[in-house]
Amino acid sequence: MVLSVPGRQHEHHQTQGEAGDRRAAGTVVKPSDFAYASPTALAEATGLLARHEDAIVIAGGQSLLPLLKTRQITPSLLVDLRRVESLGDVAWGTDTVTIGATVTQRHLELDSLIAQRVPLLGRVLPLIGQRQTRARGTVAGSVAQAQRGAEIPAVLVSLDGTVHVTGEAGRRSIAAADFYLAPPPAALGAPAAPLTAPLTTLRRGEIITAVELPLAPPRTGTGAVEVAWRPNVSVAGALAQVAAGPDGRVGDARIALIGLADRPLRAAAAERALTGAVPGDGAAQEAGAAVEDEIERLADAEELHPYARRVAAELTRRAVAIAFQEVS
Amino acid sequence: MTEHPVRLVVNGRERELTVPARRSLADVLRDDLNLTATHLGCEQGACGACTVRLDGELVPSCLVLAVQADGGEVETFEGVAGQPGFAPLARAFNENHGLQCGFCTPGVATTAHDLLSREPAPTDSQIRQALGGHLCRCTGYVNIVKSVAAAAAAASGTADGAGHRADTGSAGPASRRPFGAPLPRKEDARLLRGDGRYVADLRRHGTVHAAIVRSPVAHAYIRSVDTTAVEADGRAIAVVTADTFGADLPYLPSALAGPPLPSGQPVLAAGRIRYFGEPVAVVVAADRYVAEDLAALVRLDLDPLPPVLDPGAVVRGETAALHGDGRPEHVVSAARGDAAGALARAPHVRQATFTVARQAGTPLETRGILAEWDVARSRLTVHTSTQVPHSVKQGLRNALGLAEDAVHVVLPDVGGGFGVKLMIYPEEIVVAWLARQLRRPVSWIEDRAEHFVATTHGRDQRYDVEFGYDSSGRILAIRNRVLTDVGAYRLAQGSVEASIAAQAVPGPYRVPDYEGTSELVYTNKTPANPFRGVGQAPATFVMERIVDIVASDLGLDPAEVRLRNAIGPDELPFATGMTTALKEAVYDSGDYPGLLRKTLEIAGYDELRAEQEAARESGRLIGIGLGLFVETVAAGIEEIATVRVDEQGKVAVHTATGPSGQGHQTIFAQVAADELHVSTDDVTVVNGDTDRVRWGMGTLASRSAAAAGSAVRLAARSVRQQATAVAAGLFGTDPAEVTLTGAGFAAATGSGTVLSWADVARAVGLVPVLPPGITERGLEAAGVFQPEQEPVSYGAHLSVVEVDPGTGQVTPLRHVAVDDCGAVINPLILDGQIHGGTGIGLGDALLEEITYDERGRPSATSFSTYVIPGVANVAPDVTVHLVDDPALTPWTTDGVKGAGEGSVIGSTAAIANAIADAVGADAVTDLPLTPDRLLRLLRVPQPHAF
Repeated sequence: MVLSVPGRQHEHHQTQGEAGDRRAAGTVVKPSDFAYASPTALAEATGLLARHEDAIVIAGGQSLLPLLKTRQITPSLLVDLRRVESLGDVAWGTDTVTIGATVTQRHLELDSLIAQRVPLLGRVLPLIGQRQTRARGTVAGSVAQAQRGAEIPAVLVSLDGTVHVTGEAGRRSIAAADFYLAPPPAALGAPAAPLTAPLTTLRRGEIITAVELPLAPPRTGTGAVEVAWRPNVSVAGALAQVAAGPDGRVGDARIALIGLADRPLRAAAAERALTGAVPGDGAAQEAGAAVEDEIERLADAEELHPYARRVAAELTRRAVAIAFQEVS
Repeated sequence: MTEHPVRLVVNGRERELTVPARRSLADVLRDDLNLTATHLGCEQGACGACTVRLDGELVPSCLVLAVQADGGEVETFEGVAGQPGFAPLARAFNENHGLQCGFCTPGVATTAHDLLSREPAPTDSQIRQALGGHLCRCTGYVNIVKSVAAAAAAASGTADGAGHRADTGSAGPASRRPFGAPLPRKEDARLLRGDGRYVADLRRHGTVHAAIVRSPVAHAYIRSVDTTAVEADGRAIAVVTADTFGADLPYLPSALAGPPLPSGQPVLAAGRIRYFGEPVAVVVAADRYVAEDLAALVRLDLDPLPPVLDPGAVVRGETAALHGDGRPEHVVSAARGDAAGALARAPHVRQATFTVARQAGTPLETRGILAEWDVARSRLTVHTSTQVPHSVKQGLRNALGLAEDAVHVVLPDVGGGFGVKLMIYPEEIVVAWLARQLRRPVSWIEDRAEHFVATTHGRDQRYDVEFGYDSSGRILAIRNRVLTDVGAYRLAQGSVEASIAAQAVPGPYRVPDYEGTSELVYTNKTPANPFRGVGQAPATFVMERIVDIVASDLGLDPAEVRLRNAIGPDELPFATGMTTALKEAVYDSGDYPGLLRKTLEIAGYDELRAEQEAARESGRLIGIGLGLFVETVAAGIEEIATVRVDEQGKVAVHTATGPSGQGHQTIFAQVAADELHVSTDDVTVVNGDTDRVRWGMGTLASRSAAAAGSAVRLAARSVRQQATAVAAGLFGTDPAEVTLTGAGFAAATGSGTVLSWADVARAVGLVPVLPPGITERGLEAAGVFQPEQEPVSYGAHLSVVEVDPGTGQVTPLRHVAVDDCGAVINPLILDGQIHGGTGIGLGDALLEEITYDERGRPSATSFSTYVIPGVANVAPDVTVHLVDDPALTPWTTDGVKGAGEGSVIGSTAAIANAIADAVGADAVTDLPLTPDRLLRLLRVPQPHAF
């Protein structure tokens, strides 16, 4: 499911308190009333969004339905993308794969090409939610919602993917690095109420039509390590993808951390530490140490999940070590 | 409201509906199509109960809007269960006791069916993987996995399924008595067809739906509750607040006997709010969606107060009073010998503080009620998800001022209880009151977020102990001070946790000198009441940690220290010297050290220690933990059962119990059939219908098999005596000359004629002339039973875990449970109870915890923020063993003790000890040992925390 984000999230954050507490006290499991449309053309969908200020888009709904049912979002109109045919494709290019907005996680999980060519995505798919929710949940929806602990946004960011969006004003492509925003300083110290949506650069009325991910280079290894209280209730994780160059040294390294903040975090320093290193325990340790330093700095600027923070370095070491095993 | 046409093919049949856009597929299936096997356990896609197939894929139907499914093909559990291919699964679930309350079963079985259709011969790990999206609170998952494996084996012809049957102990095939036989449950066939009828599944014409407005703050004075916006909304059918009741505002029972306490809870907050989620107002509308719209319109004008959250601060007198003078309420002390003197003399003395977290019961079925007022008879009928139908009836009579015959409480199928459904709740009173006012059926179904604030919590205790021991490991004395945080109000059984904690710590050990004092304090949190394992699980955790600390101090093996301290068989009966409620607790029978030795032998303890050593050398942290426990069962007043034999020779058994998956229809049929020499197929059991049995305590305190089972035995015995007298009259002989066998009644001296039960019943039915010497018609009797003492079950659990030092994660590797709970009515069901309790103990030890932020808001709001075990949390190797020669209790008719809670008690302690053993930390003192908590323990060097 894809969310068109209203540009008022800071206000949202402030008004969250009392209404949020009413919700937490129960008696909200059914959505508020809304109109529904299931257009067949993308232009129709963007038109509806443009005309209805608080309309939202739904694809699989697995992140959105829980928010609707607890009335954390109360749209006037739901625009369902299910009939928009162009959004259901998985398009393989020479260097990338483009995943349409209504393609489900389960569909990709059963597609063996994904595991071969986008192995990091292949690794995380079985870790998302439950099999039942993956049958409805989409890649684009996960990218749009970017819930704390979500895997796909971390894949997007670490692989430098691209988010393709369309609005009334036309199409544009947003690089992953430019998609998620850090929270405003005002939010520091008051993290209790969750935001209804992550801070992204999506504009009002824009629909994510597809998520494009680069294919893995040759001799790539990946690792995904999560700590979950119960499997699929993950609280912290690390993703690693490393590719060995012709000399056997690490040519390209990508590391992302899950669960620390309300957005995926890429561990750039750890990636730098790995680049050019000889795959092995020593390099994995260095990556972990780099993550440790990076988190220290980050923690000065924003509140991080304390447990995820404590295990980030260790999980990074493990994810890298697993990735190395695949390379060798 | 925007309505949309939706076309679906449901279970092969085309359906055309018009539905509001916001309506979920689950609600359309349940309410518009009356396919109620699709259950709602969380409405957040986390529990799997609502799983259906949509266009061939398993989906959570609570997270799909019906409009999104337009044009799709849906298969619900009713459809799955109707296919011939489902029969092997249904059979396997029945034979392997793969379901208890049955609430999660439609989802679980739909997924299992899907798995077997794709993968006919799955491995255990594939089965576990497939079931990963399902939560079950009753079974501990082991018998579910076993059922699926058995179905696969049966379908492939590699086994007939018998090989996967539970280890049913001693009740071997030689015994043909129904009592003691591993009889598959009578309940299952219906539940495995999708014909369970939980309260939310009941349909009455004209039913309206209530939603509760709850407090969004923990502590405040109420300036006003403004309902004018609701009243102005044409959709409102009713809205009530405390003011509606005025001076007649009902309060919940706050004590089991005697006058109500000032700390009792009003059914709707009056003047002051004392916990987050406290009910403040109730709105009623045509459906739940509209009721929620209206609930949001109620305006609360509150004057916030600082929340009281720290029980320690209450004790120190630093907080505002929530009730009375606000000082801790002194509950109970228990002592034997002279603990102070013995501690002064002991060669070694240590102090420690242990805590157990606040927990939620989380049955997969939340609470719910359907109340109807019969205008013609001026009579209230209430279907409610409870463990205590008669207590609910009593509470409704008191609250509404109704005569005994004007209230009828009927138990529907109940989807799990675990203690949190053992009292009357505010919603039951208000909804019943509304049904009478509105003269139409009113339904209220608790949602999952509500459950975490509106249903009682348990545990939440702090134990400060001082213990003395000698160099041989003999524990000489313990002094124990317990503080229990019972939350905002005193409920009728709200002091049970604290009372038991005062005296239960010594458990199966001699501990000659002991002193326990226990206090409870009020805070601005959800009120507490018993939760499965009440008092005894925390106390046993404390004692079992003490034993291990002593062992570690002295360099002795923990098993050896247990053997040195355990009360021996020759010391039983053992008078504990401690009185809590009415009587001194006495341990009746058994062999505690013998059972422990058997446990060590079954587990291969010495080899396990050797493996642990080897693993440690390779850097792995493996731990082995023991939990030896006693469980005092069947507390409470008497149970009544009635037994009747009709003219067809069919037997009807009625009890006042409130089962929620414990198989009462099966076990009470076994008891009656045993006494009457009939087939269990000819016995029908009805539980929890207050019109049929005058009184009974209900299902709690591990008492149903022991107390109600004895009442059934006594009632059946009386009926048998009646029938024997009738047969004697018909034979023209003395009753002493009449024998009863499976064939019927025969006279020792006579023609060889055998009279069936039907013959005998007809002779005293509506016939003109009764047999000679018989003056009363019918074969019917009541049995009334209360154990003269509380029987004491016991057992031992052994847990093997691995701790990941990098993350603090605990992986259970193996679990062995050995139990002796007296005579066994049905070893298959007992096995299920022990597995289920072990699953709850896993949550106690590793996962479950409700904390409050500084504003008094609870951390737990969903199954994502309050994590109960899933199948993947359970050790791959869990075995349950019953002793070959159970120690009967003299205090029940058949020597049955009780087993509902024992495995919670033993497993919590064993798992905690295994973790302590792995990390070598005496500092393991606080439950649950979440990865977070354990990692902090591992990273902070704490050679001695005390």
